[in-house]
Amino acid sequence: MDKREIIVGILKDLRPDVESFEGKQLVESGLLDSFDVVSLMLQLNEEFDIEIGVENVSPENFASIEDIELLLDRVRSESY
Amino acid sequence: MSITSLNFALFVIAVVIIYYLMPKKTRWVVLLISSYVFYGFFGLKYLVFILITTLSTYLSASFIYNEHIACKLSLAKAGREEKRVISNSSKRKRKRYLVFSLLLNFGILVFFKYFDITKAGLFAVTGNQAFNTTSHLILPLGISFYMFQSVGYMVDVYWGKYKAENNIFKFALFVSFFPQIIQGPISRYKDLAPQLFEGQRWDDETVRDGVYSILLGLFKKMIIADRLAVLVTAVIGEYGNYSGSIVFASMLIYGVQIYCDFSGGIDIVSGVAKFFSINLTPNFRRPLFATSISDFWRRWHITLGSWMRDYVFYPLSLSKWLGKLNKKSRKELGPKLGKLVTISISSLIVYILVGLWHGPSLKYIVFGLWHGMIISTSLATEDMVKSLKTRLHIRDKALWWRLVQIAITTFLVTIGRYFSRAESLRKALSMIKHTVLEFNISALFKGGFSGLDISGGGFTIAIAGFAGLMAYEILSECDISIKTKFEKSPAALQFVSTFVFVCILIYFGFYSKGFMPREFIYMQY
Repeated sequence: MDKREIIVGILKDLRPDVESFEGKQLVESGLLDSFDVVSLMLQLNEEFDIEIGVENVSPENFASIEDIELLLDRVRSESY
Repeated sequence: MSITSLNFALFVIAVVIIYYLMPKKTRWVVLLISSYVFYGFFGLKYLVFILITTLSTYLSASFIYNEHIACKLSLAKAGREEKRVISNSSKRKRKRYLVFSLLLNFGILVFFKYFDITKAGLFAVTGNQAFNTTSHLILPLGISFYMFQSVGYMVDVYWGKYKAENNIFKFALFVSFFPQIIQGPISRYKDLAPQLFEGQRWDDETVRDGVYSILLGLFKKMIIADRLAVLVTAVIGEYGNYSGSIVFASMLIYGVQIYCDFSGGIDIVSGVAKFFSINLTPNFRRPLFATSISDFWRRWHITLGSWMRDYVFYPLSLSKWLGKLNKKSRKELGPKLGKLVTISISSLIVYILVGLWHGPSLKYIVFGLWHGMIISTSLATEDMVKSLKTRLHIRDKALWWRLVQIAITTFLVTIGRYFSRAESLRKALSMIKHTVLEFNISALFKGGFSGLDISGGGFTIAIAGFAGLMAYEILSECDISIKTKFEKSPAALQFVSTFVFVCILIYFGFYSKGFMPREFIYMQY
């Protein structure tokens, strides 16, 4: 499975209606609440063996699947 | 100087005139001086504490930011192995600055809020007479609001969300901006600071919105909240003399009173801020229409809720020890149930802290626990409720279902209010017991409230006012903007209706028989 598929899988597990969601604001729209954001981050950390710090929690970083991909890339590049 | 007083109105008018007379570049200085003058009115001794918070958070944030920059520069030149060492060492330094400032600020808060209760606890445990005294420390006004605002800024700088403010005087204005210092809202630096420092231009529309907001706030406070307070105080003070149904009805009314009191105050300060073209963060979104406890906290005291979410819930939930626990519980209990364990722990801690934010009493801890437990339970039963709704063909958008949800939420919030309103935990439990055992619903319909000293038809006026407010909020809830409709109406009609509204406010708010103005409830926090 590639990165995108894993992210979509986790999101679908959290909120099945994410598939039919057409907007680009997963958090601001209310589709993902703070509990979902925490679960999502913990699962991403586990799946990709990284550490997304609390400083990365913002609606913009989790606005869309593309934004989550970008966040993962950034966290990876900044981990020493 | 109460924000509903004539003195405050004159003070605001004077500040507005001076603000717009000054060149744009120096307008923030007018706000800073007036903020300190305003705060000084409440007692010069309080200034010491706001200065300590301002100075400590300013310096810590500056050190943290400089360390961030130094670290970035070093990282750019370093090799891969070296990078890890530099990054970790910088993180440690930044954390030291942060922890020092957090300890200092929360130390002051804890000292003032919890000094007497700690001594009482020590006396109970040790029996030492030295602890058997009351110091009667007076809590610096607005400390819970301005301190949370400053700490939020410092943590955001620590997380690298934005750079630290260079100018200590500008930062002092961010901490002390006079309309919001007494009872919030708790603003974020990125939202408020640019508006404060910019040197705003007079804007007719924004100022008019400000006037509407102030009128609405005065209406909520003086027509509704202060009148309902008479009834609530009378019943709660002697609850044993009333049937349980009357006590419960009074707690429901207390919910309306505290909403109109707190949100009325916020409407007034938001309106005053608009005179300087500054938009404060909304603190309420029609909480009486909440459909769950989670929804209630997204509508009630929003800035405290979002502060707790960002600076307590997230760091706690994503901390290493809860991360490990999450992994373990998901492995042993399955993904669905497992993730609930850590989220429930974080939620309970957050709501206990929300309770303690209100004061040093067991009753507030139970108040927080009550809300935290309901939220945890609703998370655990989410799937079950969903499948039940599908089986019973209940649509989320059905009006009747929404009304049922609002009724259940109101009931649960009202039970929580027993703890926040009663003098102590023991009294709250006794009131709940009395409500259940002596409920006697018929007392409500047999003039249960008669005999209370609500002179001048005060209760009737408050109920009429509340009915008007509800009509306004129902339309807003349905996305129908009264303001737009009002502004589209003929100018003469706008003038006459505003004039009538102001006359009602002046008569019932200042001169009406039996009216007694009260302090804002949230000023004590």
